[in-house]
Amino acid sequence: MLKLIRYEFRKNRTLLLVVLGVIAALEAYFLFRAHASARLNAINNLSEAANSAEVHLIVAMSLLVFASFGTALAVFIMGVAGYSRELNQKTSYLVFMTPQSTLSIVGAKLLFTLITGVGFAGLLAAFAALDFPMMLDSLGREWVGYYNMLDWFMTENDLNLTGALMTIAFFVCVVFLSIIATVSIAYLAITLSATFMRGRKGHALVSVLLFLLLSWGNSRLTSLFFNADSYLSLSDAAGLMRVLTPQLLLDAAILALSVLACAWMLKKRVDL
Amino acid sequence: MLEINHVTKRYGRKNAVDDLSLRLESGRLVALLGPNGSGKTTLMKMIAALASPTAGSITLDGVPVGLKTKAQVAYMPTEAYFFGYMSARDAGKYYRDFFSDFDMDKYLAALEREHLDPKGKIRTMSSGMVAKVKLALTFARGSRLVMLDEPLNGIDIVARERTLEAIQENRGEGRTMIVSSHLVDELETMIDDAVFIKDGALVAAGDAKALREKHGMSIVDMYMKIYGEGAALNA
Repeated sequence: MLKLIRYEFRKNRTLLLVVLGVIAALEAYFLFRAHASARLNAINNLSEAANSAEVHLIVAMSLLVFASFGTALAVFIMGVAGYSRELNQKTSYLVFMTPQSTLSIVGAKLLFTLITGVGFAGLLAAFAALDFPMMLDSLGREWVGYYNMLDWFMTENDLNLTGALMTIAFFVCVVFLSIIATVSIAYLAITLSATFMRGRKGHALVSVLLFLLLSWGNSRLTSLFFNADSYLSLSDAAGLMRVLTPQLLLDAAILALSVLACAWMLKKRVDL
Repeated sequence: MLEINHVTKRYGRKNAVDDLSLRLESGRLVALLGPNGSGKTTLMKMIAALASPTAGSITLDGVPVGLKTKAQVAYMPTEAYFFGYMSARDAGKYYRDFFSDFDMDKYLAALEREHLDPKGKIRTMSSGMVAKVKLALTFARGSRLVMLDEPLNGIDIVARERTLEAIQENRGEGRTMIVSSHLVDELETMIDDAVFIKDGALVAAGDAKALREKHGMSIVDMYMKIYGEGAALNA
């Protein structure tokens, strides 16, 4: 499966480099604006030039925030479009003629999407950690440091360090699992469409409609297990996990079922 | 030995392959003959485990075709099937990574013999050059069953000659080779067996020499009679 994942990265290298390039360009723009703002603030923080530089700095930060959402969308599209392309183009021969199980093929594509998503999320989080104090500094405000911020967060929510880290880690897991479960639902929709509408007009539209239908079904199912009226408080880490665990388990079950269903259909039903 | 037992493949209401049974011995060069749309490609895809039969079974040395047999079957599709980024060398590396029977040195030597630059991007190559790359990849594998789907299509007369030579060079040694084509005259002199398919059904099959003697005509004439005149061969 590792070889398949490696080839997923190779196939998507251009798009990955484009996304990386956009993020790097926006980060460079932010750094340039932060430097300019800090320089002008040091000379005269009430000047028109300093105010203008601050506006540019906030715009640069906003662009980075938008880029984060754009990156998440790009990774989702990359993962889903790659799978759809594999089933509908002749390159599918290259993948499916190899002695690799269909489970490995689907799993490799999902893992590629997950690794790419985690990688970009890590990069953007690192930039945010670097940029946030720099922005406050450039705007002439005091940066108290991440330790103090965490300390404030824990005090406000009556958490200890372990509790805070567990809560954050748990949230990150829930979010990533939820995203990857959504990608697996998209795979299931594409595979179902390829199975029953092969070569027919409108099978792409059917894939989209199936995805929407399955996603709606998933949300209905989630609502049965997850009570939105439950009292959620960061100060009750154990309670929070108790409330979110069914969601986590449901996403894991949907992910497993979707992958197994895709692998089975690819093996038994889909014709290339 | 390849055994095809009452295989049917249905697409919608149409039978692309219709209750076809066939037994191919090891080490033979087999021509799979029929006009476009007769079911040759569908049959090959099912043997390569890229499509599943609606009914019937296919076994290679007693093993049902699937994941296990993919390692022993070298299938060359008629279309270009490479990833956009791939150079000829990249395609070789891909085969080396996934097929344990792939010989990179043999592949690179074949490219050199055909004056193909391993660094050349496949997507920028002419159809004749792509055909050579596909052939070099397929023959660089040590597979026991090789299937070439329309290897003579879309290439010039020189490339056609080279392809036929490559088929001759790589036959034998216990390797069964199935070559599908509707260009029968080129294959006539070199094949061991001929299989005629029409509308997905088997019309005639067997040792090429025996077929010629039995029907008193060449394979080309049999082809003309079956597909041109629409007549049945004498039993």
